[in-house]
Amino acid sequence: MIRSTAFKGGLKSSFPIVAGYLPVGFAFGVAAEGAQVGTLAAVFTSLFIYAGASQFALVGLLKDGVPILSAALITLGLNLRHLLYGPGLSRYTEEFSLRERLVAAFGLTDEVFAVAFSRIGIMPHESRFWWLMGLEFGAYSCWIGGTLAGSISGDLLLSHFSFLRPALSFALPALFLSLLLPMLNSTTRPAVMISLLLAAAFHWSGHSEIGIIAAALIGPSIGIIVRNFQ
Amino acid sequence: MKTDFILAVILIAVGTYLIRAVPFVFSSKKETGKQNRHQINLFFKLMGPSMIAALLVVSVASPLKTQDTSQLINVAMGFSGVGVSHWLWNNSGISVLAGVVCFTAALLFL
Repeated sequence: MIRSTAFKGGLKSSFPIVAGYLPVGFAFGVAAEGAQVGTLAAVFTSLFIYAGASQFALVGLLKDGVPILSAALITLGLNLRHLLYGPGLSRYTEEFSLRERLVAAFGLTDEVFAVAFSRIGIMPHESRFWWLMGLEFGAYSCWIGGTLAGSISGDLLLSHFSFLRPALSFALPALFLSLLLPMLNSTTRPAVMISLLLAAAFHWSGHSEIGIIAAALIGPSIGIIVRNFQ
Repeated sequence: MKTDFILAVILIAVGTYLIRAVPFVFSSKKETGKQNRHQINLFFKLMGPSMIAALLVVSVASPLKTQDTSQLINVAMGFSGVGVSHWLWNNSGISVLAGVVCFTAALLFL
């Protein structure tokens, strides 16, 4: 009874995430179709990777002809920030068993972490795991559903309205900008500026992959130095 | 589906899961090496936006490949759509759709 109530509570708490995930999942499905990845591959990607920005990155990098291993490593690098989410929740999840932690870890995306971090503390200890499961299930299922809907309708749209194909090439830049804008603040701005310049310089000299890796390492380092000077 | 694509997805899926699971399994309440941990946390916190910024540059270069001035205007219109939508609703999904709609409108009518 406690489990079912907690799960439903988590499911209800996932509604704000659902509102964000459905259109982004849909956009991913459409973008994957635009990049000629295919419906099955798009859903396969969402089912197993389940990390929005990196899925878009993978599709975009492959579309630009980046070798598959480099694309995979860059994509993994993008997810390194997820290292912080488990430790961030640890003070609220001390009573979780090893098995529960291993299960809960799969769904710890940016948005799930943000909602869980803000609400799990007010849940009774015995309900926390099932509440988190409800939250993660709501977010995960709508991500898959959004991808499937976007991929199927994207295929139909592209076959009937061919002028949409160049328009869909803009889905990736739009997604990256929409992810970047909420992250901009006085701490992140110097790192972002350096990263933009580095990526542009490397890209126009024909070394996009090196530019992304350089941005991932040099941008944060400069950001920390600037922060320490402030 | 191509085999190398499936392998890449599996590699990323396993890597992403380990990135999420390993610190979760081994994290505890004990706070050790707080100063170093703060610097490392800040590095990872800055790494996300830095990589997204770099990916933005690489992805925007694809629609701009033609080096056509009108395409530059289309991209600017698309980015304006994303910016205004973000300012109004602060929802990344809606912002993406608004950006694509503005880009398409510029593509068709400008």
